Amino acid sequence: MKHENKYHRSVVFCLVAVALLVLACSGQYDISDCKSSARPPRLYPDYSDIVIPPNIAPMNFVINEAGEKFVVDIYADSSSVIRLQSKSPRIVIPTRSWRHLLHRSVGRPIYFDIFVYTADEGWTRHQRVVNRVASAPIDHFLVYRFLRPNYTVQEEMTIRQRDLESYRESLIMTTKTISGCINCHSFNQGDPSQMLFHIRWGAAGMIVARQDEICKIDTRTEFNSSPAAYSSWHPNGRLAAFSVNKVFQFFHAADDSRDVIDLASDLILYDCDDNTVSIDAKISSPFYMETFPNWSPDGASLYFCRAPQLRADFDLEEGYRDIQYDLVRIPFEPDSKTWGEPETLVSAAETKLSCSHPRISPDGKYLLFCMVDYGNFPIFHSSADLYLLSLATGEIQRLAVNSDKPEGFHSWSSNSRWIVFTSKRDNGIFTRLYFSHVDESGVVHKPFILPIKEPRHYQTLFKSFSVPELIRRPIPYRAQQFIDAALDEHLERRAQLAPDTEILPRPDIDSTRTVTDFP
Amino acid sequence: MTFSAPNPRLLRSSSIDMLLFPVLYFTTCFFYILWRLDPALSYQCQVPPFLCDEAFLRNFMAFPGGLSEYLSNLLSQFYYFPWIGAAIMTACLLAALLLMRAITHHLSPQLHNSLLLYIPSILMLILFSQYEHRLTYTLAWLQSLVCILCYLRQKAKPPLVRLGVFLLLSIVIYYTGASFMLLFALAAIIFEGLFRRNLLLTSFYLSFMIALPCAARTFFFILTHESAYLYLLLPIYDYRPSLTPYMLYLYLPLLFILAGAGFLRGIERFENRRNKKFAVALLILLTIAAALVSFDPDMRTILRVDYYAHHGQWQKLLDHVEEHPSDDILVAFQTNRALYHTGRMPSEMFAYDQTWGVAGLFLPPEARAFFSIQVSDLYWDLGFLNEAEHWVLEDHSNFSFSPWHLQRLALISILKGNSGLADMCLNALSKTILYRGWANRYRPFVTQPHRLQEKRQLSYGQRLYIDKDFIINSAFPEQDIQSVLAQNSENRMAFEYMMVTHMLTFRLGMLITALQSDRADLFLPKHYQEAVVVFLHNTQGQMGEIAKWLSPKTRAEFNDFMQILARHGNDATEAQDELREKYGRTYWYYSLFSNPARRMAQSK
Repeated sequence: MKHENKYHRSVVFCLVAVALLVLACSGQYDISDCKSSARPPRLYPDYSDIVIPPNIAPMNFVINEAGEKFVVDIYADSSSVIRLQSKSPRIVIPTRSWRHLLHRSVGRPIYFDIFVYTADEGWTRHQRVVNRVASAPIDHFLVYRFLRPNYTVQEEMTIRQRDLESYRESLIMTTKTISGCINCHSFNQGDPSQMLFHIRWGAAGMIVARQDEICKIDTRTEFNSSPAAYSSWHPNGRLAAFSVNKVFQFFHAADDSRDVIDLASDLILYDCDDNTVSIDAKISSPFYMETFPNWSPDGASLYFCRAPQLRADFDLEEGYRDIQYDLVRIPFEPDSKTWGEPETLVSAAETKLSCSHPRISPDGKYLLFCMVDYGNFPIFHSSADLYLLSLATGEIQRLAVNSDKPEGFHSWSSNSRWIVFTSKRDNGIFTRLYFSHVDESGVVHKPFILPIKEPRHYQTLFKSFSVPELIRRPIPYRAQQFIDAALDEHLERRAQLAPDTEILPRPDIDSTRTVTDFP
Repeated sequence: MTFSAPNPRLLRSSSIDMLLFPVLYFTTCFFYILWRLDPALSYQCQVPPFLCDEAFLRNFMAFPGGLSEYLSNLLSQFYYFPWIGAAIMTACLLAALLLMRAITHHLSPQLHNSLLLYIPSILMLILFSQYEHRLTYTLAWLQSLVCILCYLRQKAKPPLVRLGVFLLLSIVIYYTGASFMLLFALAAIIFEGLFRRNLLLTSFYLSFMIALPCAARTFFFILTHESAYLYLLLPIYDYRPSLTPYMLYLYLPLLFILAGAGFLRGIERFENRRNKKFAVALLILLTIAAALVSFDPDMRTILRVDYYAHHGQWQKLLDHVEEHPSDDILVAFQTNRALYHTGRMPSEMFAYDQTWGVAGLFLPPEARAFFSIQVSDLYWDLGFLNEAEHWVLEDHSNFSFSPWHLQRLALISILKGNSGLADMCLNALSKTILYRGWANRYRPFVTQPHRLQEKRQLSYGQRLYIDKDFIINSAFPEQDIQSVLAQNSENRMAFEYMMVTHMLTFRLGMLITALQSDRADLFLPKHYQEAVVVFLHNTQGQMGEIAKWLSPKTRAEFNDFMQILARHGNDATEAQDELREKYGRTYWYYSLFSNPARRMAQSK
């Protein structure tokens, strides 16, 4: 009996001790006695003064302030506060609470109160961080290329799909088990069931997924010895415009190291139904280098960039800085496949800058494009910036989202309220993805980096994100299907040049140069 | 087939052998690996990346075999320390023996002490002799042995239990060791077929072995048919180890078959009588033969030279090349760097093989893709930050990421004022085990550029920094050197490389012009004098101003050189032996007998 009592007492003692320990560990930090700091806290990533989508995944961050304890209150109003406390500056926001907060705060600001404790100074409350939750959601999924800075050969590159409402990520394509380079994925108006991308070298070809079928197309014809590159689906889903480029890579001794120019390029029109390539002197002129096709949402016009064709005696050292592209629009009649007259929207002669990558907002109001000192590979030029052209007024604005490093490879959300683009602002070499909200009046707000579960991962990530494309639904095809299509010779078809096509002679630019494949 | 326990008397009698011989054998292997192979050279060859970081681990968890690669990177980074590297490799050899013993104990007890069980260790030693050999394959193979052992331990259990164990182990080994699942499955199939005569399980195992990779490919991982079945079993593109690994992989299944068919019964009798000594001697001879045949002295020299170059041990490098001459282009390239760094280039370079010509200075375009990090080193030496960055990123793109990339990128970024990238590199390096200290030492310079002078490497790069742009000529790097010199005539390395380029390409007029404009008042080093004499001889030039550059000794030697040639009727081939003996280390001999163009053509 005595023993039994002893035993019971020990059990009770243990339970009480454990309970006290749990209470002690889960106790709230007392921040009531804190002093205020006049400056905002340093956060990584910089998630302050931004407009965020109401459906974005939790935006975890790190407080870059010296401290031993940290408390973060996130709220829209006093009725629902997410309080996070930690001894680590790494702030992980619970998904459910975050979603709930965003859901209740649509169209309103949300606040981040950040408290940092140091033994010397006690608790310090930093200036409040204010962000706003937009009314318009962002597309659910983002597809991007994930690779090392690609020079000549890659060990592995992938195309990935990210669920923006969570951190879930899946592989769409990888070169780990097939040799080659994969690039230029594109979707028809954000519809993932109709997509394409290219494979260079190895199992080379264009993979086209459409109407639940996947096939591989060899896009080279008697007209174009180079395969198709930059692409844009016509809204009718049958046609796609492509550029065919003869690309030359070179390097600089100072400033931006790597550079690429086109020695020649044209646009071609591919018909998926009859597997033919058609050309027209208006988009594939021997006197111009045309590239970066982009259809208007109604399919009645094609926007692209063009520069005068280089002369056969083109001297790289002397002439590369003179290559500047205009932004051009040309009317198109899809049934008869006939083209109108090209019209220059932005003239390089006037801006002294070179245009590239035109992307029209799905509502047809704006055209987002890049301008750079010269050439057509903005992502290699620090001078590359994003510009917004109002298609209604013709007004062009240089966006405030730009940095002193390259910005480019941008695209729109399907509701035209969000843009995503790549930027090298963080480190100068490895591109990251940034989002910005575009409001009704065309104001583009401060950008923020793609939220990831462990934001510090960006600081040791030696790979680039590239060609971000927003899509509404997940891609309905599995990576394995793409790999099978790439390797199955029976699925490969060679595109034919449309009958009665007249091919005009092209200048032969110094064939002794090393012409690289698409970077 | 029935099982019998090992004979206790025999076990007792061989207990001394069991302990003494393996201890001696593996100790010898350890010192052979340490002193002869040198694991530091394997590290030099592979530079395995490893970060103590969850995201790094996640990369390896996304595909079958990834965990073996992860473990391999974790362990093989310690090859950097030869003693630890040798211990790891020896542990693998020992593990192979122990696992083989344990497995055969279950299968064929008469083989328990057989020297045949040492054969896999010998084959592994051959593999370790190949510096490119990655530990991944060895670890995956050992995992398959562990799985086989686990399976055999269940041999007395009912078929259903064995089936469950087989399924579980197959899935585990497929995930951790990829295609090495096939070896495990094969062993289980042979066991059930030959030892247990359980045809139902045999045929199920066979079907499962075929179906598992297919299912993995269809439902879980992104793989081709080939990689689903053969990933890790097939050699990768930069490492083709011939037949040895396949002999290793098939050895155990072969033993299984032979034991199952009863062909190994005579082994015990053979090894336990007077033949035991003969068997031991045979094993030792076999090991020595394997070590001799598999050892690649040329590769060792190349890696040793590269190792010295990487660690800036220039004098050791030159001594090694003197001792172990090599006609490899990387050796020529690193030798030239060493000659520059020791200040001996203009006076002693022709004492070393220069038959690669300018390619030995800059590496030819076709070799640059393989030796990108070395090309980056050269441009770093030259203060050519953009090109150093270009080539280190080229290496980063082509091959696995390595800590050396991060070190180079960190230094370049600090000098360029790119604090974002410098921070990234230092953050990553601080997550490594070997380079953490380096990262901490360089971190202050990111935010305090005024302290760059404190670090020799940084002040060197800062002094030579090129800030005026021109387009790089990848095909003719010597032209870039000219442009570098035009910007900074104090760039000594660029000057010497330029002079040497003129000599190697026989453009002596340009050499004279450069000397006249830059070094007219200085005493000329030996090879420059030799080149000037040749120029004067070829052009019948007046001595005049140039004469003051030449020492009487050089003139006398050149006269002697020409007299020897004349004695042989001006037939260079006839005179070659005598000239080599007296003047084999001169520019004159080089210009008469070396033909870089032919050498390059041969190498292609």
